Amino acid sequence: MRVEPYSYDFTGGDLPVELGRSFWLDGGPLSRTFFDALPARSADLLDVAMAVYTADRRSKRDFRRGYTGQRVIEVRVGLRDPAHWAHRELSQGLQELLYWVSEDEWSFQFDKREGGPSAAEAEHYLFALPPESPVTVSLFSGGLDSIAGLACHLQDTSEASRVLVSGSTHNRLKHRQQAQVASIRTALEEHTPGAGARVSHVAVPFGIRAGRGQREEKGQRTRALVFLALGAVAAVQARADTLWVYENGIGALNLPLNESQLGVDNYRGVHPRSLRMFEDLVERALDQSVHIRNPFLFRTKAEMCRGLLAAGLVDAVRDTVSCDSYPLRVKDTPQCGSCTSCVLRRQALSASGLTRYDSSEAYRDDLSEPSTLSKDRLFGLEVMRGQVYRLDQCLSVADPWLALTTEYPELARTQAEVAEHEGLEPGCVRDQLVRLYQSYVCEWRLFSQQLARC
Amino acid sequence: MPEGDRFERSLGAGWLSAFRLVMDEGTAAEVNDKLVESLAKALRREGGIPGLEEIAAVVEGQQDASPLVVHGALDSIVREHGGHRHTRIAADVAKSSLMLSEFDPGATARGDVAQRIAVRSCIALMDHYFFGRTRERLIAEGRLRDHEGAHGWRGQAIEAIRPRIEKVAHKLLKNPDATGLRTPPRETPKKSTSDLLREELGASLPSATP
Repeated sequence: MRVEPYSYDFTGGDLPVELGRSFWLDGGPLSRTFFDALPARSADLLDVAMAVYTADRRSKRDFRRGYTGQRVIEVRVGLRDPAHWAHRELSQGLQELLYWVSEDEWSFQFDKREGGPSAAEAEHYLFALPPESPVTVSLFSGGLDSIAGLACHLQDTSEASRVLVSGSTHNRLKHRQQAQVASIRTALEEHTPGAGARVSHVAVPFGIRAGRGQREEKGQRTRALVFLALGAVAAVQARADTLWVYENGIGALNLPLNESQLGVDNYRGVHPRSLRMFEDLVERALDQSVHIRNPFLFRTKAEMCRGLLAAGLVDAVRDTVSCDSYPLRVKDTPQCGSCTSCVLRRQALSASGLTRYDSSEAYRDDLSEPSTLSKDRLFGLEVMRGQVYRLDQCLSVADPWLALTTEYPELARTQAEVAEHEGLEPGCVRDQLVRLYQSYVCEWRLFSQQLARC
Repeated sequence: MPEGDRFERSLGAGWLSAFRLVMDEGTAAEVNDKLVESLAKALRREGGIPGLEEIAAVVEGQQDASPLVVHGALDSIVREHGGHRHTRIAADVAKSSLMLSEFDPGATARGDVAQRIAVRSCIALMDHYFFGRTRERLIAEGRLRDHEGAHGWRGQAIEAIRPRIEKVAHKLLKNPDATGLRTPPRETPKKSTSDLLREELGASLPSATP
């Protein structure tokens, strides 16, 4: 079946990025925080990420007939150094990365960008003021994983400065991120006077301009690339060699929940393969390496959440959001409570003993009262239980790894790639992955018992 | 993160009839007949399993290769076929089969590899189109007790229709685009119109274990 391509021209005419016709991204915080103008290469990386994200959202997938919604997307984008991006290695790396995260065929034409530099590039400072080293730069989404991961990381490291990088598409999310950063500063200050002041929050607003009557693709499989690009650029600005991404292993690997799901029906934004491919892309795009590390690949969400108590950040749980439908636009009820992201959140908080910090009133659908919910609203819970059943079956046999990789063959490649990239023994990665899923299944037993008692 | 995960919950023609039969307490034989019929119909409608022979060749030829090489080769086949649903499912089946062969070197050498991949792909198609989409609904409706019951029910159905699935797979290998693929004979005769008219409506209530 021939698929009609989607074509986009993001050369933008004479408008700078901040006023672009199709998308906007205010890179100001990336320069102002570090008193350092945004380099052209970094600005180009952000523009490519935004062009991809915009094209992705504007291109509806067609799931009719036998096809899995694969799209063909052609993008023309204006850059400061188009010749650099036209290099085969770089453009091919971009296409391969996008194929992996979206399973679409992408092609690019890089043109010379018209108009002057953006404000973030044009702001000149007397001298740059990067944060005091050693510095850690972390992505900070405002979700439960980002603060739980940070809480664990605070205990494992004692860096002089911390840079938290957020992207926000609306003010509700921005305010939640800011509230959490305030909690982090207070907690650090209580532990070490002066430490709170050494936390920088780089909050970058961005968005796309929707055309009139334009229908959007809900999947947004390339959205993570914008956040990763922001993080990589912030790491370069902060003179850091690593960008930390906090995501639990269950969510990062995101195995199919049932047999109806194929390929990118499951989000791959922070899959270890995506992070490795993006790391390679950044090295080629910026001529500078930034390691992208998720230290929680082998930890469940509940295991990450346990770090919140020790770090004195447990009260910030109420400011975090996990819902796929956030903001729900229901007064005082920011999350739905029934999507798979909400179910995983509630399972993790329950298994880590933090339920009392997570008011059930913050959810439209309260899983602890299943009799009040329609069958449709219980789908997320039931489909996750189904996956846990399958995992449990795999883990109950003599060779759980063979059973797991037969049921979820993608795990075999993940094992090989993680071992190669992280310099670990394949057997060690295998054991860690088996342990991850064993813990997850055990946590679900507890959660199911708690639900049954309600 | 399971962000915006997509679930295919609608049932296509044929599969929906099978679901209704389960809901209306049709006999296991009636449901099984409908499943085989729907499988053949889905294969005909979507052009069979494009790339099936190439996929089977990868399994035959790369039993000792690392997962990185094998997955790369199979993903290339899926990509060449424009992300066709059936090709993807067969490629996943091949990846899974290779995991088994890694631990049992004779597993993919014995018998006809292509036939085995084709049979497993047909079963995976049934999981994708039917069992994976109806399990949660049947549990929610009280037709199935829980996931253990659901998997047991699926296992029984697959075992009962395996000989017919093997026939479909055999025909598919001869003609991978499935044109003219005929459904193997039913086990239960089709009900006549007069039988259907005499049938009592809503006579039985759903039980917890179909």
